[in-house]
Amino acid sequence: MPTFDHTAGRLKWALGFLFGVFAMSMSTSHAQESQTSSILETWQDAYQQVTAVDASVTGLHTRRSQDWGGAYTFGLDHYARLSNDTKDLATINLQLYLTRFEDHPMPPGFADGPTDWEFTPRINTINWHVSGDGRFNIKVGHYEMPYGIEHTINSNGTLRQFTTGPNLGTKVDWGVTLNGTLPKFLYEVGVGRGSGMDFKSDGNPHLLVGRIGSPVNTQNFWGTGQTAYGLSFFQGDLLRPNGTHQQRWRIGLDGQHYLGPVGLLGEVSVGQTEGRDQVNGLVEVNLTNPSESLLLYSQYRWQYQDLPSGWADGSSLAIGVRYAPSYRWALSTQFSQPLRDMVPAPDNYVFALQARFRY
Amino acid sequence: MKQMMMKTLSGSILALILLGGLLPNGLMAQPAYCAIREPYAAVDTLFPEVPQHQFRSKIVKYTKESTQRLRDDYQLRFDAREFGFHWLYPVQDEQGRFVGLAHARVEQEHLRTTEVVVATDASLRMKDYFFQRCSSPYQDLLEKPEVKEALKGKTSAELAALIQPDGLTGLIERLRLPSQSKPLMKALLAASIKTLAWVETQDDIPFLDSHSK
Repeated sequence: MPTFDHTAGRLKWALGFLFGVFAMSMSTSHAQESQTSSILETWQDAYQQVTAVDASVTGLHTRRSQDWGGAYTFGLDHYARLSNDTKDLATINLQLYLTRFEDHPMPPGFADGPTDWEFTPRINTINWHVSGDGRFNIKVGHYEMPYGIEHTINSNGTLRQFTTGPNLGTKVDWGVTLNGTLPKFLYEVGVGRGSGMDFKSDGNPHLLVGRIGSPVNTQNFWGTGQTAYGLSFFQGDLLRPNGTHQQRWRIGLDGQHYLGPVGLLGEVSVGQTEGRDQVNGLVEVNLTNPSESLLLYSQYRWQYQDLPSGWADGSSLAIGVRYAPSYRWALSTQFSQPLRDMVPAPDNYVFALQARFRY
Repeated sequence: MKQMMMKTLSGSILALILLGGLLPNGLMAQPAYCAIREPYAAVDTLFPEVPQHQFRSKIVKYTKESTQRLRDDYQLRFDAREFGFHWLYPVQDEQGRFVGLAHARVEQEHLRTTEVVVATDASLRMKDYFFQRCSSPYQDLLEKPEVKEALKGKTSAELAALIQPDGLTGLIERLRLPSQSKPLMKALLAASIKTLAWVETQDDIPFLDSHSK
């Protein structure tokens, strides 16, 4: 297929990279196998890691599409700590995926079309614990934008998404962040290449992004307890997949609160895209069962934008369910429907089904 | 199109099987059900009397087999998601002496799950705890110093006695807590027992030498 030929070189590189990670992990495991159970040797186990194969199938149907389309993803999710005898030195995240888009009705910008193969590195970072007390770390690699509520919730590869991608123009980028947790808040400030999924430097794109918020972390899909707040900023000259540049800046405020089985999440951003003002936001109400294996959520998104024709507004509603009784698999579905289009458009909906497996 | 999708799907499954076969046992794993979200801050909170502490995290694995004793001896229930890798945070002081460890666990209470971070002392007895995620209105009550004091120094066996129906009722009454706080107290005790009873069986915890154990 032409799209496959077009990306064959990139695919080959991606597979080589994956193989390299396998080799690294296997050598680590061989080292672990040769260890005795003595405490001393356990101390010397400097690279402790957990790796999972993550595969998912996502089917999408829209009113406009004639048939089902979607995506298959397949990759490695690798999490590790590098330690010396007495303390942790660094945290390593590797999320390397291959994605096959198949008649995808809304392919992401980095895809070459509705049917395509793509190597999709998600979060691939090394976070060095510089100060040794968690207050100051330096993260290098392909990092997730520290912006908004999405920064506190692991939504990678799931149907349940928040606003970071469409709001900022990218959800990930290559670069460096300074981050840490202080007694009352956490912070992360980063600079990035401004090219998103791929590393490209045409026209010298760049971005600056940061968030300061309640001390929470993203290790749990369900976010945090109690009330958490965050204040974010973003400024970027982004290189778009079509080769053009786009200027954006945003300031955002987010919050989340949990009352028994109910979660309330919200986010609002103000800023400009190419010099034109805009305001957008999201409100989510979710409900979970006592074991939290079942999550029901409803998201309302809205946007006001200063278009050449004047101020316009748009909104949409999404309802979703996620069932994950085991770490090995999860089923999700989501239905989203525009309520009001910013510019005239035929009515449409997106119905999505996803099965996800971890091994 | 459907042919292509089927072809891609079968290719993905084949690749998954091949990878599963290639990788050695123990490498492929699921993420930990729960981890301490901010380990540095948690250790600061739980070991305030050891200002110059250091910790080195350690992965441990809970399996159905390895938790059999906990299930048999303490009649504890495990969610399927609890089996897998978890993080332990053994702590040492500036002289390099083991002073305890911290560990996070997820337990179901009344309306949803709660995440408890449990700390042991150097003798692997209960030292302290806090809820790092909890939506119960009784969280503050259970984090009061008098409640913590009542559990401090307890062994896994002593905590196991408290989680029994009579023991739980007696504990709630003795501490003058509302009876509605029982589910959260039970979750706290279950998390504590699982932590203490588990580490008692481990012989490769960093910093923990045979003398302190």
